[in-house]
Amino acid sequence: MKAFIKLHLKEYVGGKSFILFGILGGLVTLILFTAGEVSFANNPTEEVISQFGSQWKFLSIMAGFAAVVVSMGTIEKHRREKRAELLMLHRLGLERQMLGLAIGNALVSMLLSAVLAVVLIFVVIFAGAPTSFIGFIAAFLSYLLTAGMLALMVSVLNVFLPSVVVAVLGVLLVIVGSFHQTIQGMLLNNGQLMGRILAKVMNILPPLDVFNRLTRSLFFLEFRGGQDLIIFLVYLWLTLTIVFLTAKRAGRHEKI
Amino acid sequence: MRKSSVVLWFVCGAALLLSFCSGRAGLVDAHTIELIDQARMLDFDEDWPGFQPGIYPLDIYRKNLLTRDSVIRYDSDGLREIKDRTPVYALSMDVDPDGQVVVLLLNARDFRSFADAGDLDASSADLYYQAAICHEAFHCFQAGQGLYDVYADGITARDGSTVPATSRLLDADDEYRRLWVQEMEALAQYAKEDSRQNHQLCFAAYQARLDYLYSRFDDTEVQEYLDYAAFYEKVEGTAQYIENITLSKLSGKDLEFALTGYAEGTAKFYSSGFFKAFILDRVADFDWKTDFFNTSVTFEDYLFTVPLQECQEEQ
Repeated sequence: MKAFIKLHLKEYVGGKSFILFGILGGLVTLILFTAGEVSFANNPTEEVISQFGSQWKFLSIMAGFAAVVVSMGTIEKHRREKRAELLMLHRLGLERQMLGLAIGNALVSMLLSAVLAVVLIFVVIFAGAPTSFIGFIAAFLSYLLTAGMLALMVSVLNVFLPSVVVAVLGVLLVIVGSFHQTIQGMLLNNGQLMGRILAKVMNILPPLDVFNRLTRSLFFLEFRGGQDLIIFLVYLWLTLTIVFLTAKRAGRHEKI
Repeated sequence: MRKSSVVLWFVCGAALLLSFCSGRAGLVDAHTIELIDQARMLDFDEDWPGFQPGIYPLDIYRKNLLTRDSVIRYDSDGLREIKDRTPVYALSMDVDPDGQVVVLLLNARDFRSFADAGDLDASSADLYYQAAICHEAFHCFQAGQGLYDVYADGITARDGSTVPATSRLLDADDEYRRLWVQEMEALAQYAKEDSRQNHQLCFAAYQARLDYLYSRFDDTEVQEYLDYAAFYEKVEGTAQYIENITLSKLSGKDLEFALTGYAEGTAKFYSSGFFKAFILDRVADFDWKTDFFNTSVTFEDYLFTVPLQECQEEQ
């Protein structure tokens, strides 16, 4: 399976898309640092906190979209090109192929997310940020894992659904997830029964804004309580379990 | 995969779920209670005599994962769950079925989740939370002072009211938006620097906006709109003033006066009322608060008439 993942990485890593993502991430970072400060009178937040916080928020949304783009069609394409049969002849079962593709997608998404944040890393190192080495590494890891988790979710969807539908659902997942708590609050606020039901249903969707808050709290060295971390780990665990079970199911039911 | 690895994996999952559930134990988390208690103990006697945020009960929204969400009442008797009422997910003032004014609240974590656009750190979010508690408690105080009896008609709910249409037209009117921003900038400048010239600039800007209103709408429409604006400035502007004072007290920073632009609907009256409340409050020995909520007097009645100028001249 390792060789298969390596092959997947070789196919998707590098090239124009990585350069473009690097430029895009750099531009976002520079724009937000020069003109994107969210500031209003009597705001007690320090300017530097506001600037870096907005950076992480924007980058995590972009990383989410990148994960969707990377993962939305790989499994469908793999099946269409009949590579599965060839690999099965080389004793790589369908279950392992699916797992390999999902993990490969997660790794590519994490690499893309890292490329997106290259300029931010330079800013953190050279311009000085209110963080420490450990705080930054922990924040960066949670940021990458969030993108990886999204890639795994989208990969699972692609096992059951065509890539066009997966793309739409993936984008929806990123948008709703990035403003999960706000949207849920609005649904609860309207007082309607349907709103309350939808708000409960939303608990299934990954709260990317909570994951982003975890990233920021690690970065700003204000991690406390651990509730956000537990939620993050619960979703990570659930996602990995679902990926594993889906791959197992695909391996059992698909006969070539 | 080996069987032992699978078992270990599911044990990890169970442990995570257990940690998640134990983290939610209790009616309201300790951090929320700590922040609420701090906010309720703040002293506003110099800022608004009679206002005590600690005397109003709080109804805190509790999200339950699988069961129906519920209300947690926090008052002098402590915490208790109210099960027979549909909770409202809001930061607001409300009157409960027993006629008691209460503050509707979220816990600190939910508040941060709702308000955070990526620009808040934990300590700022906590300050905002406490300021919001004082803001809503001040609405309870206003109710106790008889504000809602004075405005019992409910400005916008009145049958045949022209206010919604006027408000929509004005929000889309570039000239009106320009005049409003010009007036707010004059007010902000006056708040920053107390001078006769700034007072005159404020009056001129207000008069220009008023002239424009009368040139665009008939007298009845203008009067209805001005009543509506005065009501929201009074309700939300003074509450915003208390909120900003709370932020200033807790953060140690001075009050700031800046405008982010024209805000549609009632949102613009928060900052305009705040500027005006601060300007009136700056004048020593000028009692504008005693009858402010139990009569239909407006900010302009004080700002652009004789009493304020007399007090300023005495100073």
